[in-house]
Order: sequence, then C-alpha cells, then structure tokens
Amino acid sequence: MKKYPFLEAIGTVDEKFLEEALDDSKEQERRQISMNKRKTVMIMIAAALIFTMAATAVAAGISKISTLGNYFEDFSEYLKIPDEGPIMRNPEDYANEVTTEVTTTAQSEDVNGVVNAAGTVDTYTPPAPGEAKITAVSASERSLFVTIEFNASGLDIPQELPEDARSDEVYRFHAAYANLDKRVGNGFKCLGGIVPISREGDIFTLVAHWDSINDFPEDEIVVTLSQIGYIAIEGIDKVFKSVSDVEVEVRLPVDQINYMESIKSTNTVDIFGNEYAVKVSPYELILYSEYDSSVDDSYDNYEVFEKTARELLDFCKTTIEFHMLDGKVYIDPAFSLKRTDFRIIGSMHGFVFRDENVFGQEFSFELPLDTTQIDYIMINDARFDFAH
Amino acid sequence: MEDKQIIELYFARDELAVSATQEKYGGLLSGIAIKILGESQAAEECINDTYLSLWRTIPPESPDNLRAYSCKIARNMAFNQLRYNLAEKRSVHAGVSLDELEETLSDGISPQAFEDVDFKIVVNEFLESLKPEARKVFLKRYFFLDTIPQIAADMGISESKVKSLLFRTRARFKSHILGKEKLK
Repeated sequence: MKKYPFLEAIGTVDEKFLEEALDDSKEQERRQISMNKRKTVMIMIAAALIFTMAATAVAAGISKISTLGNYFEDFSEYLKIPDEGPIMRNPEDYANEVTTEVTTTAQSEDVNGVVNAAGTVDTYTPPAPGEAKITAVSASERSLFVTIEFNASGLDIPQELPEDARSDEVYRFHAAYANLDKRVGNGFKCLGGIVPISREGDIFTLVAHWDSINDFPEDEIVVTLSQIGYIAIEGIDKVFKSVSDVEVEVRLPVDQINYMESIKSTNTVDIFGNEYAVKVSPYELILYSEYDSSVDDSYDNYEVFEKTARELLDFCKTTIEFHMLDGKVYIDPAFSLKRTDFRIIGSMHGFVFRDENVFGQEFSFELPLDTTQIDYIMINDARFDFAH
Repeated sequence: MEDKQIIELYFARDELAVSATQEKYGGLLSGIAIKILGESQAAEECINDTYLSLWRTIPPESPDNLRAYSCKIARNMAFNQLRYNLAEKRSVHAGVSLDELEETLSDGISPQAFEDVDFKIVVNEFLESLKPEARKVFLKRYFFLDTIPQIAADMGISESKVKSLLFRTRARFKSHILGKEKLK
C-alpha cells in the first residue's frame, strides 16, 4: 500500500499545468506591471483630487490587505458580482508599503512580517503556541478588517470535524470582541463578524471585521477571540459547538492603522428640509447632514429627531445607483423589495453625533468598491456627484 | 540550448541530449528528488534514472514541454524509490515533511475514494476548473513540494495569501473527489 497515495497521484497531472506552474518569470513581470500601473493611476487620481478638492486632499493610506483581497474575491463569487463590477480589483495591488510593524500579541514581542511594495513578506515569524498576532489590517472611517493568525498548538484540535458538523464546515472561533464604539454608550465588547480563512497545521487564520463603528479607541484596539469549535446541524437548527474554550487577546496600536480615504460629494441635496452630502470609502457610503443645534434645538427633542431619522430611513429604502465613469450603472436594491442580480450593500445603520451636530445613514458594502471609478451616486432621487 | 534542439538530439540518438538536459534542468530535477528522498545517494540515483528514462522514452515520445515532462519523470522516480525504501525499512530523511503534505492534501478522504476512478482524469478536470493563480499555488505545493515562503517569493504574493489559496483549493479538491466518488 502506498504511504503517500495523494501526493503520488498528483504526479499524473497534465504537463501543460506543470509548465504553467514553473513559469514564474511571466507571473512576476505581470504583477510588477500591474503594480506600477495601479500606482500610477493612484498618483494621478490623488493629483486630481488635490487640484479640485483641496479640502479633501489626503494621501491614500491603505494598509496591507492581500489576505483580505482573497477573502473578498471569494465573497464576490458568492454574491455573484459580475466580473466587470465596481469592486476594487486585486486589492493586494492597493497595498501601500508598510513601514511599521502592524502587530502585537498579548504576550509576545515577536516582530511581524513587513510587507514590501510587491506584497511579499520580508520577515515573518508565526505566533508562538497559544498566541495570536495580527498580520494585516485595513480600516476606513467606520469599518475595520483585521487578519489574525492563532497558534492552537497544544489544544489538540483534531483535523477531522465531528460527524454532526454541517457540510463544508471548518473549525472557527465563536466570537471576536473589540473595544470599538459601535453604538453610543457601548464602547466595550463590540461583537464582530468572523470569516475563517485557513488552517495550516496548528495555525488558524481568520478575518474579523466590524462595520458601523462610531469611534475608534484613542490608543489601541484590543480584540478578544474566544472558543474554537464548529457549526453543527441539529435537526433543522445550526448550533455552535465548542471544542476548546480558549480565550486569546490581540492588540493593535491605533497609530499603526492607515485609514483608507473617503471621497466627498461635490454637492449637497435637500431631503426633507435638511442638506445632505455623501462620502464614500471602499467599505461604506455615508449619507450625512450637519445641523446647527444653537439655531434649531428641535434636534434635541427626541420625537422630532426620531421623525427625521425615520423619514431618512424610508427615503433610503429604495434603490441606490452607482454610476461609473465608464458609463456603467450598478443598481443595488438596498432595503427595498426589488430584486437585482447582485448586491453591493450589506447593511444599513443610522447614526448621530450630537457633539459634532452630525447625523445620517451608513451603508456598509459587501465588497470593497473602487471609489476612483464612481462618477455619481443616486439615492432615491437624490444625486451626489464626485470630482475626478 | 532550446528545448526543441535538445529533443532533436534525443531523436538523433546523440548523447549530448542528456548533458544538455542536465545542464539546463539538472538543478530543478535534483531539487525535486531531494525534497522527496533527502540529500542522499538515492536522490542521485533517482536523477540518473530520470536521464535514462528520458533517453529511453524520447523517441517515441516527443514532449511539448521537456521541462515539465522531465519533472514528472523525476518525481515519479523519486516516489518509486521512496516506496521501495519504506518497504525495505530503509531510513528516509525527506527534504520536506511528506506526512504533513499528505495529511493536508487528503484531508480525511480515504484513498479508497479514488481507487476506482481514473485519478488522472479527475485531477486534470479539477485543475482545469481552477483559476490560474490557485492552480499554480496548488501544484507548487503538492507537485513540486515547495514551501509556503518559497511559493510566496516565487509568485510575488504574501504567505497569508498562499495559505488562503491552498486552504480553499484543498476544500474544492475534496468536494471534487468526493463528488466523483458519489457518481460512480
């Protein structure tokens, strides 16, 4: 009997695939060209923004998101986003050169890999047994994605999933909490979403993400992961079953995050008596209005504000159209009952910042949008233009 | 020397064909053998057997890709030798952890799952269905037995992306194999 039946069987592959796999020089050349082209485009767009929108002339700062890029790519297949859709392509090409070490672990002082311009890791050490580390981070004004590796050595998590696991299930963490202010007055233990990415031996990699973040902490983001297990099927129910009640903490200093820039609309639109503008980052669309509470204190009246918020919500419960520079239009049904081939928007949240006299609606995207390609956006019958 | 010229030498039964192959692809072929058999006499013999096999099979074969064809022979020779060594209970110090690679690739599928199907057809169908990047990463890892840092460096992508691609490709591989088994 063969000891390595699968590895031996792979020896039967067609030679054309082997030749393709051996041809690295073309691949590297393609990536280099793609990277240079993308950088050039980004520089040109940045220059245009500075010229036309001095107030928003902020250099693009996008942290390493190569793992996230892969995560979004899989998501785009799931969501049936067309190939020519407005999502940010090759997100790893958008990675800027990370010059600081974007990680900490609870106990370890290991130096994380530093990503060079080609997106490759120059130095890298995996987390020590029982520890976690952040290997990638990407954030916008109200969204945060972190890629985390955890070394489960010693926890004896079997390779095989139990028989009651749902099909295509993988081992996963049950919860990821962060000290983010997602709701006013709820600045602790903010629950995020988790997507398992890979398992290599005892190293688990996952992406944890939060949207509708009202505020980031001043010093550091503390993410707590708890319970490794799997989703089982019990009758018609899906239940999480823990195989290890481990709890692990990972810290990310806020000053090491490069936030992705937003572009602001060049115009405002009157909606129910308030002037609204929008700003768009790759991760969210924010429709917001400023009000002067010293002139009109009606916003301090809960009932009036509630009415305004409800009106705005109803106004937004319609299609949202993304008109691109190339003339293509992508329509998202938002929260109307209209059916379309695919969705861009994943969730909608209202918010109010009383200290800053700002309130509005946030639309979180399922996938990172290429904001550089947006000409204008229609929300209901309100049109918001962007300078390019 | 171009591959086409080397193949012409094989057809002309000119022994320069072997030295030209050795000069051009010797390092690559040795690398494959060493990963499977370790730095050993067995690896050297495996490479010599590879050249002999090339000499014997070309002609009548006329491979479109001499490099890929040679790699395939070297790899199969090395695994044959490995199987022999294991059966004879000879010590084997492979250059990579074959146990770990086999475990992650098989992912709990019983070898029985594909014993009754034509694996060559199944695996080539599977590879055809992949995007080029995922296919290259998969073959680099499981055919050429490259390490993850090596693959990341070769392809100019991050290690975490390599891991992620491997994870998802293995999951698809598993469902592809099991799907074929159900269709039997």
